[in-house]
Amino acid sequence: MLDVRNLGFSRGKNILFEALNFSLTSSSAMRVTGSNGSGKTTLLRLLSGLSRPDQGMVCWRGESVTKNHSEFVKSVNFVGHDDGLKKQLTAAENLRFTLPLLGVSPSAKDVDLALDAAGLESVKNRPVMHLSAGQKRRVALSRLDFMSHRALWILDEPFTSLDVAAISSLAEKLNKHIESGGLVIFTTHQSFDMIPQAVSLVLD
Amino acid sequence: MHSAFLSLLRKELLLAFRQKTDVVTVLFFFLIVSSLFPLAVGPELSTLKIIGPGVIWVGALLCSLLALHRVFESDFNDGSLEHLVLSGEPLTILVIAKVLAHWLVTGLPVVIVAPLIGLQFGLSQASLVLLLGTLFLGTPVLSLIGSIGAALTLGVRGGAALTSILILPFYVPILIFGAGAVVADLQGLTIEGHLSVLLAMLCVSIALAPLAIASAIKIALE
Repeated sequence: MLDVRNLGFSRGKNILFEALNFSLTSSSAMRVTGSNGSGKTTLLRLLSGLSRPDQGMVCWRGESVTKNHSEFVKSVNFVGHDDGLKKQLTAAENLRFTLPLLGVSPSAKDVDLALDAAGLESVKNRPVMHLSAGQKRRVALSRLDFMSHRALWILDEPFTSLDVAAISSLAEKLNKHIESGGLVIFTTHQSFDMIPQAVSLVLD
Repeated sequence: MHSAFLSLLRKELLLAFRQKTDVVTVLFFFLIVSSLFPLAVGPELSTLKIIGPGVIWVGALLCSLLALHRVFESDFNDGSLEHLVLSGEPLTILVIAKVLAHWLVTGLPVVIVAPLIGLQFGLSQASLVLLLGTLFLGTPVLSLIGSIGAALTLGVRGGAALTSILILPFYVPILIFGAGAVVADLQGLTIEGHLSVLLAMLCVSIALAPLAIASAIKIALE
């Protein structure tokens, strides 16, 4: 489904990666690791079509992702390093107003249920600025509950600032998506094996 | 597409409501800047009448400039802009929602308050109505063109100052025809030409500015 062919990207004289090739089918996952500044985030941005590669191409179902980007993004769920939450809005408002942009219009009840499931029952109606880093992350990740129709999940450091319980519940969500035919690509610093299907890609 | 547009618009308006001080600041800036001129020029009514429309228009223009950096900056910093680009909805439509929300909270209040300021300058009722009309046609153009500059300078250090330098020359025609219509009317000249040009500028910028803004955003995110 996702083919990366001869991908190269450099920032000035600093070559982040060259001649990168891999191919992922449905029901699979990839874990991207590497030291700080090794280009993990850059790779994810290339895969999502936000940036253009210097060389090579990224293909989704046989078509270049940059060429037909507006169609491609309908299959992508990108959770970046910045969570895109508005700090003046409550957790529930953030979800209610942003999910319609992603093509789903959940009822207020569905949003509440998703936030309760993420362990945010007591804080869901507080402005996000009063939430802790981990709670904000949980809010951002509870969007995943509504994103099963988008096959390709690209997650940048999804496990950062989560506690043990939240990590295992996220791993469960990812595994469920993989089992139902999805494709998950994520970066992480931690070494763990909670996602058994994940192949590793090490950038250096 | 419909629901995406509306929910983005509602989100922006709710955000503005939660940050009321930002909106109020812009409005006060407008009131103060346009009140400075009668104090400086003196109470000669015939002079005030002539400079009034121009002063109010310059005030509205500066307000628009003052608020511009807020259109995309916070979205750029917190990652919301990436979400917009990757949402799968046409970016131009979402951009229109953002600019419309921006105009509703910064442009429209200025338009509504302007006649009050006009009274300070001794403008007649007919002139006040005309002033309101030209501002109503012109301020959306200011927001649309200004947003192109705001999007182009995303992520640039000193972006707000750069936006002003970049955008002010493009504001000049709107200023000339907007303020000019009211002055021409005072002098008993016909104003249809002025209004037609303003309306044409509004139509062209509604059609083309969102495309330019969308491309600028994509470039900024690369």
